[in-house]
Amino acid sequence: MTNILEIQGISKTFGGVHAVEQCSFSVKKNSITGLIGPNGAGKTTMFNLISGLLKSTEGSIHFKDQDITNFTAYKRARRGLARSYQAIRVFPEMTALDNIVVAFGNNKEGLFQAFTPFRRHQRRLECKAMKLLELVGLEEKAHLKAYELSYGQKKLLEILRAKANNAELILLDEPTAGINPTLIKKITTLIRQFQKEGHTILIVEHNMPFIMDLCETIIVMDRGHNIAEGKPKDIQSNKEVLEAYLGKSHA
Amino acid sequence: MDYILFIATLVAIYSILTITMNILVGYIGILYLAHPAVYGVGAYTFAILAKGGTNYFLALLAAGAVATILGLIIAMPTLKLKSHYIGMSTLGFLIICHGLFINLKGITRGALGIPGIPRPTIFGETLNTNLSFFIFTIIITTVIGIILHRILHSPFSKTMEIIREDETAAKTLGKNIIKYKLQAFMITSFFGGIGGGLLASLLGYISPTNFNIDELVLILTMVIIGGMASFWGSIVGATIIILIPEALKFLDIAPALIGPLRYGIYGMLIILFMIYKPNGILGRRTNVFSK
Ligand SMILES: Nc1ncnc2c1ncn2[C@@H]1O[C@H](COP(=O)(O)OP(=O)(O)O)[C@@H](O)[C@H]1O
Ligand SMILES: [Mg+2]
Repeated sequence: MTNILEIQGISKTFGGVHAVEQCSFSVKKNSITGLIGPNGAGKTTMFNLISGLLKSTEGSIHFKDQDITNFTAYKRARRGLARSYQAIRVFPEMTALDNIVVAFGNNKEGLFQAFTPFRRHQRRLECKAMKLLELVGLEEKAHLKAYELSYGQKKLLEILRAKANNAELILLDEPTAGINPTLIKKITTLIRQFQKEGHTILIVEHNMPFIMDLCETIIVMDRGHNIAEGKPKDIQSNKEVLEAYLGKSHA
Repeated sequence: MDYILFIATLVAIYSILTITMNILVGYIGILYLAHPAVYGVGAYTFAILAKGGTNYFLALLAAGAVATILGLIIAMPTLKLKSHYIGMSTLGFLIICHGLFINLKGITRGALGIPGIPRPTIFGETLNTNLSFFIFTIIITTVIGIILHRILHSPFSKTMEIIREDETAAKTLGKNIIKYKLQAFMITSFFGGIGGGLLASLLGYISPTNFNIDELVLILTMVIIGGMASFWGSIVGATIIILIPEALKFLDIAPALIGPLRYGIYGMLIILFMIYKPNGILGRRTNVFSK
């Protein structure tokens, strides 16, 4: 299997803080890969580096065999990279349906396309968006504004929006944080289905049962470094990982 | 009757000025406070060209074009700045341009202003009556209104709105923020500039006081009480704000007080709407003044 994403020696410092330091790892195409580590390990910073919201101080990022290190965020998204956020970022004043419709890559959103017939195309996209909402039972909420949804429903909406964005690689930052077990099951099913449809998913999570169950490969970060990588059962017994989570004296 | 037609023409022109300001402030969420400078440049361009004998319609298009150039210059620093700093920078442009209107005497005649700005001549008839100019303006503003309505009810407009709602999220969905912002500035300043040209033609005389901070307060009040990100709201807002001083005339108030009272009422309306009805009459809840 080939790699869809390759991170080589990437670093990011904020003033004196080395949030990410000399990190290297890769993500296999069509895999579900986990990225774990204690709070402050640099996982969200890593996602920001991959999606282009932050510029790395050194190192390179290759996506689909292309060096995207100097691509702006929107260009990376157009190449097929989408993400969700640890702190929710839905569009609060748009309906749930519109939150998804705006994410479709080809939605005739150019200025001059405003003067072409766009309505029928919009209907089609609305139907596609509705099908996505149906996957998680949110179809009845389609016409509510996003701010009216519950916390968990907003998180689901963000995941669907990333999927709608025609993404080959989907980055999910703590999708199950603060969410009830029923919704977590839905998210698990959803992620498995995305994989069947050919997407690759990279997940940051603290929920160990969830991530150990879902992922084929797990990458562990601690204080900016990637300290281990392997199958879930190997990671669970890895000495360095236990040290990172529990402190040296316990391991 | 003649006076009512004059006021109705004013409402039509200010509706265009308000909708175009709303595109930047309400739709894409840029705290743009330079609109009187932009349509002012349109008004001066039109006045000078039309007086110099340029074809009326060409002069209007030139007004739009020159205003667009200014709009794009004003846009540049806003692309790098955040919310309130954008407010400061665009307000700075308004003050600078107002200063230029006063001081570039060779072009603008300074505080004396430009009198004798012509009305259009169609089939050899000059539209000098308020009725004929009203019909003419309604036709042009309706055409512009239809174009803007189409733009503001299209997927392009939805993308402008998600940029207002969450620029970061919009970026990681593949939206080219800079392109959208520049296009929004172009639409606002082009049609705003034409609106400025029509205003000059209606008034027949312009001077720097037509394009100062008082005017900004006026247009901003129209946008806010009509409603952010609302096409029809802007028309309602413009209508109400134009009619307020007319209503004051029917009250038994000393004429010297009407001017200050007007701006007092506009200020009060902004504050009351901000507190009790931030969506305005027809608009959306936005984060433009709070982010
Ligand atoms: N914008 C920022 N400015 C300064 N420090 C930051 C910034 N973002 C993250 N950090 C710091 O970088 C480190 C890694 O943070 P983060 O990537 O959020 O960790 P994680 O997601 O693994 O919990 C932390 O020490 C955090 O305080
Ligand atoms: Mg994090």
